[in-house]
Amino acid sequence: VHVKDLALLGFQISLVCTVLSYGLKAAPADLLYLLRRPGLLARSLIAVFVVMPWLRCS
Amino acid sequence: VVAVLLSRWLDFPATVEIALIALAISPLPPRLPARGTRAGGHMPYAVGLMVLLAVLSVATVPLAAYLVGVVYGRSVEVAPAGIALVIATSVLAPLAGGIAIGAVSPRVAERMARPAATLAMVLMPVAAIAVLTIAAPTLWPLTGDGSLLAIVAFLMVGFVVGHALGGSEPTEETRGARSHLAVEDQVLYGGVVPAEAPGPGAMQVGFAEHAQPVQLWVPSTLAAPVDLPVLDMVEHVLQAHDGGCGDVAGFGQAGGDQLHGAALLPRAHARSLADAAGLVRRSVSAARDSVASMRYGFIFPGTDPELAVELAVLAEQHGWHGFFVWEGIWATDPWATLAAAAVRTSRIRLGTMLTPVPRRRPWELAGQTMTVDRLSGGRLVLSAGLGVAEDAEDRFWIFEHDQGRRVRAELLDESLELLPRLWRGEPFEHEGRHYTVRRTEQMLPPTPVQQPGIPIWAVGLWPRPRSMRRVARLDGWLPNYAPPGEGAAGPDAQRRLFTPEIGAEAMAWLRAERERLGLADRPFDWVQEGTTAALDAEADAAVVRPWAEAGATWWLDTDWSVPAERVEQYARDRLVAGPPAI
Repeated sequence: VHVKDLALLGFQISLVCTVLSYGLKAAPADLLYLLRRPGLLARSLIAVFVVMPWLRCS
Repeated sequence: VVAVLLSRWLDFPATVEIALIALAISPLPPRLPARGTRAGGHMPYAVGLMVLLAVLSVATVPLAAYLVGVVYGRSVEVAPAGIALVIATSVLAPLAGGIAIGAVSPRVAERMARPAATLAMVLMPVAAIAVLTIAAPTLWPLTGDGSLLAIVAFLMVGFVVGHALGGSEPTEETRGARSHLAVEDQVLYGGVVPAEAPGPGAMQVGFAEHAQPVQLWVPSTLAAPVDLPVLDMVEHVLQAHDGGCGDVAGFGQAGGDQLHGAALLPRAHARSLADAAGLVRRSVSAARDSVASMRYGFIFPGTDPELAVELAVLAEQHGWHGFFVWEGIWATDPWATLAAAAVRTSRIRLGTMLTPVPRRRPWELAGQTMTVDRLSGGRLVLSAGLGVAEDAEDRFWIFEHDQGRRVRAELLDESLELLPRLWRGEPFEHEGRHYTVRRTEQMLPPTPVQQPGIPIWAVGLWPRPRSMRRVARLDGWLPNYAPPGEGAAGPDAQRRLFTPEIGAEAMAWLRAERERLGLADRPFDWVQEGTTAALDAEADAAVVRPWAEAGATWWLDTDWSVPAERVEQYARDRLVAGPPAI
């Protein structure tokens, strides 16, 4: 096994463990947190999908 | 940066530009400071955003890749099915798994969370260092043409944009800083209103800059290392009553013959006096509501079951809202007593004060409580405690030995997990540390009248997180207090040291925790015990009012110091005099 394969595996396990640890601390209601706050939802989506790509393209 | 390096090193078709765009729309989870989530801060936002971005990325990543291809004249294709597979296996599945574990067994989830987070935190830099080492030849030219700088700058800008648009709920560190800024850097609007203010027009709203917040409720423990400093307590109190005010805070306090109101607004939001007046008005109204909604119960400190039933009837006749008996180990059976009281009364709540749940078998307790709940038409409340320690009061430990606080806490948690399932009256299995339940389809008991279960009030030791987190999942808080740096205070010290201000802070913490747990919409009681003599109505009101103003929802009156021979007379007199009027 090449080192780069191990490194990739390390990244994948790290990502899964990070998300799992969030899940362990989260409540089911957390999944809908943003949908219940339309203002914050809109600002977050603008930041991710509009402002950042726009900054990069400009 | 690592993502970019990976893309170059592994010869992905994407270039640095694509990687940057990918970074901008990446569904990877936002990193959280662990301490910041303890008081219910960012966790729901982080999880909500992560799920949303993960689901949307099935469409947005291929679309972005296509757009990048158009802009840069390259043919870049990303299959939605591939993205969906990655998202499902590396984001949605572990997240759903974690939540499911937490739902089935919060204790297992709590144990697993730290090792999982630690493993993730250790593996990431190790893998990154490996990549950086191998990719050094590729990395080096990037430093010359400014690409690396551009990536770093881009990430910084991303951080700022996210912070500005995604909100900046305070972490514990910034909370501390903000509470110190409260006086110096904010404009204070305050008002003093007569108790019987005829309407909003009568409100006087003062204006002061750099003023001492004299009309603001400042907790006595502001200087102590508590979880929620004053400003957050104010915010939580107002949010609870007003459906959320974001970055505007206000609070009202009723005291003496006047209602005081104060509203703190960050300088940038202090638009007008009218805004402040509105806040003060709402705050005062919230404080007035909390006083009006107080309910009163009586705890019978005696032992005679026949007398207890008679007193329960007396309590109902004289305006009390609840009647409670105490539960011992070798003592009058409280459940038989309450069952008799249940059929003789029709309105008041009934319960024990309180049940040492670790000393009881959960299935027997479930059967007894279900029976009394059905006999009373759904008026029972279960008060749960750890039970007293053997080294504190050995008279409760004449048949067995105390296994220690930790074991009793485990027994309590497992019982609290089992009781709702037992009350459902349906077949289930359970394999816990202390109890095992094998599945059966036969002789299943009926369910309580109250659904989804009988309300449970539990003792919570403020400010101990584990104890308070247990309470946050239930229906009410029976306060116990450990002064900073000390163990739980004894009953006498408790009365002296535990103040309404400290209780209000604890309730603010509980509200934040319940919001995090998705329980914010369900009713929750703060059950405060105390003594009023019923000799002087004004004096009694002065005892109870501060607790009501701080947010207590039940006042349980009793005097445990009355000698046995006088208990009957005391109880009759106190009940006939009626609950305190505030």
